[in-house]
Amino acid sequence: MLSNIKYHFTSLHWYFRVLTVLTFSYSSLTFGQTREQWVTESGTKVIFVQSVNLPMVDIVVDFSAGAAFDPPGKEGLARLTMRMLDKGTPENDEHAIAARLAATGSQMGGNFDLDRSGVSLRSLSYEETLATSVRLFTEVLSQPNFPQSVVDREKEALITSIRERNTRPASVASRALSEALFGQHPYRSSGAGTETTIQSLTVDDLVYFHERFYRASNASITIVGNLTLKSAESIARQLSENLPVGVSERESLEVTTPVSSQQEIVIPHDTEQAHIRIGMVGIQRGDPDHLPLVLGNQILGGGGMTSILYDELREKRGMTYGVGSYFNPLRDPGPFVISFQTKQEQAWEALDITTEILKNFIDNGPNAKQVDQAKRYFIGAFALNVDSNGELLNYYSNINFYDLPLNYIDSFSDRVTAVTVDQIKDAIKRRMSLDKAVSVIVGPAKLLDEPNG
Amino acid sequence: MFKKEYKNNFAYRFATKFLLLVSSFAAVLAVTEARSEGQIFKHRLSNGLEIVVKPDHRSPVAAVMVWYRAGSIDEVGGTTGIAHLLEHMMFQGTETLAPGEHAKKIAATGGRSNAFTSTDYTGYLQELHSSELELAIQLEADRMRNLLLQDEEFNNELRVVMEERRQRVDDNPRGLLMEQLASAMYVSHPYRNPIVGWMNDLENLTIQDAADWYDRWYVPNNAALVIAGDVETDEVVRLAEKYFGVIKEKQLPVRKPQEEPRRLGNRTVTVKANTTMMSQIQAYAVPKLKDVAKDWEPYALYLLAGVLDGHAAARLHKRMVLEERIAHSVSVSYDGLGRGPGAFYVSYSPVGGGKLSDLDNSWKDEIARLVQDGVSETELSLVKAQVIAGQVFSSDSVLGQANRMGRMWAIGFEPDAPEAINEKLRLITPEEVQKVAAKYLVNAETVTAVLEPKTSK
Repeated sequence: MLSNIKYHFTSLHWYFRVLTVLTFSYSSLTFGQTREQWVTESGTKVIFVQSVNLPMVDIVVDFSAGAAFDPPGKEGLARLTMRMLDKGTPENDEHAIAARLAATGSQMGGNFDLDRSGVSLRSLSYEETLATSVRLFTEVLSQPNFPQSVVDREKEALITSIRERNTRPASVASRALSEALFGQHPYRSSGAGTETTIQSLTVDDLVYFHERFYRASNASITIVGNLTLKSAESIARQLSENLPVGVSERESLEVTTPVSSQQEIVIPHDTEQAHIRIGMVGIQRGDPDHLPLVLGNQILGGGGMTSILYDELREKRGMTYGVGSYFNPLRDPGPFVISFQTKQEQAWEALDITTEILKNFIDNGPNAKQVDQAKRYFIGAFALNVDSNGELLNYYSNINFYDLPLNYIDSFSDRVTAVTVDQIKDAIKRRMSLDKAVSVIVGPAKLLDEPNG
Repeated sequence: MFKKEYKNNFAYRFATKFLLLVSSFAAVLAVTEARSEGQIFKHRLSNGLEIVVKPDHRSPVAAVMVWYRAGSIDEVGGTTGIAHLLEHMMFQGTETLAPGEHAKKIAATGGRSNAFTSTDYTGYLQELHSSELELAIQLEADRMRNLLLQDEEFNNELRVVMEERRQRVDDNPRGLLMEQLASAMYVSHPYRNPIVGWMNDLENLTIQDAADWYDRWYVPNNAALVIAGDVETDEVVRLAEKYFGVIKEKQLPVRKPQEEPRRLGNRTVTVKANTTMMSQIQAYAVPKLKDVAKDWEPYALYLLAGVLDGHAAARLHKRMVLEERIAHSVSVSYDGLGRGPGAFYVSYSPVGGGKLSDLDNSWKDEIARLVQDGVSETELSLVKAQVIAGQVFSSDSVLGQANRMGRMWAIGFEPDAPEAINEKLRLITPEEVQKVAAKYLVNAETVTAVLEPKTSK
């Protein structure tokens, strides 16, 4: 289930959220009234938000154990560890785990990125259902036993996926960009691994990774739903005290993020459209320029069908179905990326236009009207970003994982209001530059030979 | 999964969250509210516009949708893709709004707007602060009547849609496979055509085609205003009267049934694409849901799909992926809620360099076993547990609630049909599941699409 999350019976396939950067706020929270934060005796940070309107509970346990923590040469270990959690414990094999979960109607899921391995549970809140689900959830988080033959099978599945991914131009483009931006920093790898590194993974590697990274003090637990504070405390304690113990610090990276330098990468690939990326190393969580820059990005390439890139490339020129840009702020500075695809014949023209737009944006910044619109969008959009239990879980798990203040969102609209045009222009000028920009273009070989063709 | 919808806006991906608007029919069938905070309210204006409202006051937001009962199923020769193209044009200006201004006005409030086209319908949505209800209704009413189709915008959107086609289909092996499967499944029924349109049809669409489509289908008596969220029904009706009430109803064209002739044998189509992974999807012709109260086979088929692939412990994944280790992935789904014919699908891909024939044998054997030995009460209860929990989980989003009601209306059911459907699902017995498996999956005429790696040149 963690590797193969199925929604057939449970939800409309509507993922409509762009929870970006923890940056929306509103003055009154109309649901999620009770909100508490504490640390368990075992050292796990907890946030609980009560939401009583639906008989359900969402829990996510985030470990500082993302792709960036893969040991060199063992890329793919973090992801395989997460995938293996529900594939066997001393008490239950994978079939028993699956059957027990199915009987409750609950769902487990995984959310894996560069910084974290996040494992989630969604259950009905009826006492017995919830207790059974949480027991099973605790068991898979704390006692996976990585049966050799299952590990072999899952490694083969990962390798099959890697081979397939290598045929996809979007994957090829993204990987090339990350490698060029991040040099030797672990953010260069998405954590998928290569055939060679996956092949090299052993049961001992998995045991090591789990022992070291799935520690109570390396975890944060976020709970949203229809339960009392007392029940939430009890669930958090149960989850936390069963996790491996060890050193009490959280894992962190000890590498400095590089500054990217200007580069153009051209990769021939069997594809209809050319896939284009422009990126540079961006910002980290808690960066003082965070808010000005994400507001700036909203104007350049953010959502809402109103951005400069959308207007210029799609509305004016019909060059692409979708174009946009984002900052991905991580524990260390993450990437800023512009991305789109266009028919091969106009790839170079589209890249030139986009580069020119970016240059102009960095040089001149947005105008007062654009900034006003972006601010109103951010403030107005807040209600939409916390209008369901699923949204609240996302929001608060980010606050929890990245150690942001609990009232971060309450003060948000004031902070957005306070940002000035000059602050945005200044932040863009200091933090963004074409000298740092890496361009990647993936497309058919015949068109890539002649950059001016 | 198989009733694709095409969205207007490639909503941009922030970090790892991606706007994905895939609609699986199976999803709709199972998702309803276990206990609704507000009842579903229905009302019809004198011009025929249906109004459906589901109050949900958890949060100060509202999902405001307008649905038109017009999709690719209604397209006629040489104009495939026009339903979807018109959906794009609905953002390109009216007599009083400049191109793009609709989206800008919504974004200025922090709201989101978007639209989607399916085989059976076209839908428009605004998700916004509930204090902006009137703005959304006003804008939707405006473009139902006052759309301004202009050459420059039309030609531009046509280029955008061609890029969309390249992205979703031509450059996507799975997209190609699904397109070819649908074409092989139907020789007569319009489900054979892709929603996005064939490239050559797109190249030859004219602004007159768009105008004709708009005149024909964008009328109040072919539409529903569907709202879920922090709203009062009286207020919705008042605003709907004010803005939509002035639009005149219009006689709709006759819709021809275009029933698919019986299959005379198996059909197979092969797609070669840039992929390393073989995969296959097989379609069985099965009944769709027509009468919520009287039918039982569609419910049994739905649960049959669940027994085979409805949860982590379901039969096929367990057998083919976990135990036999011959499949990289396997999936089963039942598509029985639509204006066109129903279908039952199984798809899989072999692990490593495995052969598809091994997977075929395993699938056939599992069906034979199910038909012979039946399904246990316990096994069926696991599937029903997903249905029951799913009812609650799916109420978490107001947009999801509006979507569910609108879709039910669009395919010809009452917006609150899911409640009755869920009740019926709970009553289905193991014997009924066994019966539909025997009747529809054994000795059936199937259509198969096979994806093969392109041999490198």
